[in-house]
Amino acid sequence: MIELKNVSYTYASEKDPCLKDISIRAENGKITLCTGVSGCGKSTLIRLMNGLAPHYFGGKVEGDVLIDGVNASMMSLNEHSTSVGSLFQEPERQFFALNVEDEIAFALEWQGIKRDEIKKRVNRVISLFNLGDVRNNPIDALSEGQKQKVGLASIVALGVKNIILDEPTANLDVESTSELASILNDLKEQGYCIFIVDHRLYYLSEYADSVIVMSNGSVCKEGGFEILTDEIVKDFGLRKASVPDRRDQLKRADRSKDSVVRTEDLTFYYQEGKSIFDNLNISFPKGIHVLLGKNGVGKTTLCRLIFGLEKQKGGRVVFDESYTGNPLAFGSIVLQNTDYQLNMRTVYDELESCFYLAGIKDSKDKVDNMLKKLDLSLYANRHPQSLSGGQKQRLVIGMAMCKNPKIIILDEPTSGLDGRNMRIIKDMLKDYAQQGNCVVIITHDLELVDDDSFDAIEIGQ
Amino acid sequence: MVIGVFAASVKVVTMIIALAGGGLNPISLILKNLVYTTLLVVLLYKVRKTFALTLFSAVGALVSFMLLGGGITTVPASILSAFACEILILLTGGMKRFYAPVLGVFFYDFISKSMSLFVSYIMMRETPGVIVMVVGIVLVGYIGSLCGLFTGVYCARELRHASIINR
Amino acid sequence: MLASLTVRNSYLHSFNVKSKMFLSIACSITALTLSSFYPLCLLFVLTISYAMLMKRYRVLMVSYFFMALVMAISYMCIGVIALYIPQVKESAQLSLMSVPFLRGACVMNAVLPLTLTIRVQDLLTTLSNMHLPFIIYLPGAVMIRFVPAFIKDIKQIFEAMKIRGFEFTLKNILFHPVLLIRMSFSPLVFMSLRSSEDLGIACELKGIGNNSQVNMKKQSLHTKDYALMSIALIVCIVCICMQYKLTGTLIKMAGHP
Repeated sequence: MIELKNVSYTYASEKDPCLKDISIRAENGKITLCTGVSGCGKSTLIRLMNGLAPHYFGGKVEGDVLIDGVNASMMSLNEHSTSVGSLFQEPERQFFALNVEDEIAFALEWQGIKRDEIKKRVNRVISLFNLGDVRNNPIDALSEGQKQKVGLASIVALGVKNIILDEPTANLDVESTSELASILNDLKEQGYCIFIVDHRLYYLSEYADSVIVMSNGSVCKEGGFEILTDEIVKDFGLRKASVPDRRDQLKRADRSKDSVVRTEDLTFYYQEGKSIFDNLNISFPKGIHVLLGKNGVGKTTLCRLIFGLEKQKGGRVVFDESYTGNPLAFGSIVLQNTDYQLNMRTVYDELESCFYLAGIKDSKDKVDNMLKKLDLSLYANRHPQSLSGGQKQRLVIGMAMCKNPKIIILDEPTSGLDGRNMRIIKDMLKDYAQQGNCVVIITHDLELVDDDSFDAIEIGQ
Repeated sequence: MVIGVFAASVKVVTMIIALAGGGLNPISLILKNLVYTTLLVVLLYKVRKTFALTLFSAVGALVSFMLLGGGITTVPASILSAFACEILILLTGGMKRFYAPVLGVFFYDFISKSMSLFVSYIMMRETPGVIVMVVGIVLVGYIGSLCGLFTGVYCARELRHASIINR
Repeated sequence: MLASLTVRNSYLHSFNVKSKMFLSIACSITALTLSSFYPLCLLFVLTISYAMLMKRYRVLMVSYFFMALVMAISYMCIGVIALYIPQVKESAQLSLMSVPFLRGACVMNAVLPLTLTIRVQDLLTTLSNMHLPFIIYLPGAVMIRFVPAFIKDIKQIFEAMKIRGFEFTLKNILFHPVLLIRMSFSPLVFMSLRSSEDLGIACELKGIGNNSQVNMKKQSLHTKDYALMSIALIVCIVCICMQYKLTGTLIKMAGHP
């Protein structure tokens, strides 16, 4: 059980407290869900619960943090780590080993536990989480859902009873999200205390026992899942509590319209021989489309082929108006990892360099307009890497729009974003499509595609 | 951890530059050394602790020997130079001084390159004329190292602007 | 380099990493010590036979080609330098180059099989079985773990540059070097820092480094590993004795033919 009594916390480098007078309780055998817009203090709350604050990040804590009834101020970080386990959005970034079995054993090996006991625990969690088939597989080869399972398995193997999850579903598809929810429910029934911080809420509607809504470092609402009404969702910039899976109901794109891009007998296979496309014919007309298809069908590969990031084995990609130049001058693609795409010293420089590379030398007004459109004017002189996830995503989309592409393809543009940022990005993309362009989105985000103005293009039928 | 991750990135980047440039190409030699020194300066600004440099060179040497199969003859030279620089840093006021990382890396580059020249001499002792060639190659690389000191400080300043180091 | 990440099987794969490491170190030190032609020849023949066991003939051939190329370039350059600096003229003799070539070749023969026949996971297990101090072991393990990830990251950085419309071309190297370095290098620095922060936190949260380490998988030396190490030791001793017998000295420096 984790309990916070009148806790306030201030980082060492800041004057004002990041968390103000927080009193919450996450009980054993229950799932507690905490949500709120980016920057509301959720991550700091987690740091207090797992001991990183103040042990790792320094700063000043007021009030009491109790772990299984013991005051955390009396515990070392090592003691803390034996009581609370944490799982993050990208678990592989915190893995030390290269394969599943070794990763699960890794932390146990440093606990002074005997070899036989380590083996016993590893075998137990591998069977508990159904990881037997991938036991010796490299971590890199696992799906995001499997990586989350490995992360959870290594926590359970350590024997901790309090598990904290920080945005565990940000990179998961719909199916993996529901599988994770079911695993968490199993752990709850075994008496674990589960504390989840997430923007996505719908998947816990049946499992969450209590919900905490945070804003500006304080707890604003607390109660059962039913407190997440439309009004609360709107007021606090949250994601919806109930999201229908409308992927099958989306109207199909009218392919008889003039296409911006189309493929003719496109064929692609990997070197190992795994075939992805065999004479694929597909067209992308103007408008905003969601690219649908089962996992592994090649949605991202298709987009990469369109822009020449992969080389097709047969067939061709044909652009509007018989354009034959560089595909990346005609259109643009926004890949998932924003951090790799931000290179300059300030947000302003980032946009200015994009206009420069698009052949626009005097771009001051254009940069200012784009900053306004992205709602980033206040951050023009900030370092791009110091922005929040939602701000970075908006900036990267803006950068792609600088060259005024006829088609823009986005891979998971709203993963890990709060409701407010998700809606800003959705509106930006809809506006861009209304200007006579083609916008294609690859996404697992059910809430993003829950919109009548979107249509679907399906591959792999 | 910082040291391990940095050692990995340094290894990979310098290797890619060397492969892309074909090893003895002067541009790739300069670039390789520039990147190496820059990352090393950034590392020392991030981890301003005594013996971070020695640890970096020990870890890098150990792994590069086992994983890359290279540097077996230069491993001791690299570790010894790092250790000598740590002593120099300590004598000049320790790691807390603002320019300590730059000073440390400057001497580290200088001493390790000198020692690697000595190792080359041992390898090629029958044909000392070849050493003239090696000296030339090392000097070209050293130009990159000297530039790397400036780019390292520039990077460290930018990281501070991004609130990533010395927060 | 990342040949070590490719999984192929040869007889040498079945040896323990420790025995191959021992052989590499012993043969390399011996090769550095030797300066007579015949002992080096003997060491060369034995080490190349050892290297052939890994069945990577193409890699071996390419390595030898590059080594010979570098030596040839050096030889030609010395010839040119000798025109201006007569003191180095003595080095510009092809016969004198044979000894350094053999020395380098012996080191390469001993080290290449170590690199090309270990799997990264074995290397991690070996590192942990060496009972190195935590402060050396963990950064070492992290480094090995992150080498493939960094290669992937660098590909993504180049891809992001391409998407932006700025590629790694000769034109950009010559006309926009600053922008080129900025675009390729700055995400790498941020990425390294982010990864190190994440791992530092993971280390704390998993309580790593606070107790002694126990290895789930024990790596032990088998008879054939002891045999390999013994043979390596005997070969090294024989070569050194041979040199002593031929020259009357253990280490011979330049200028004393």
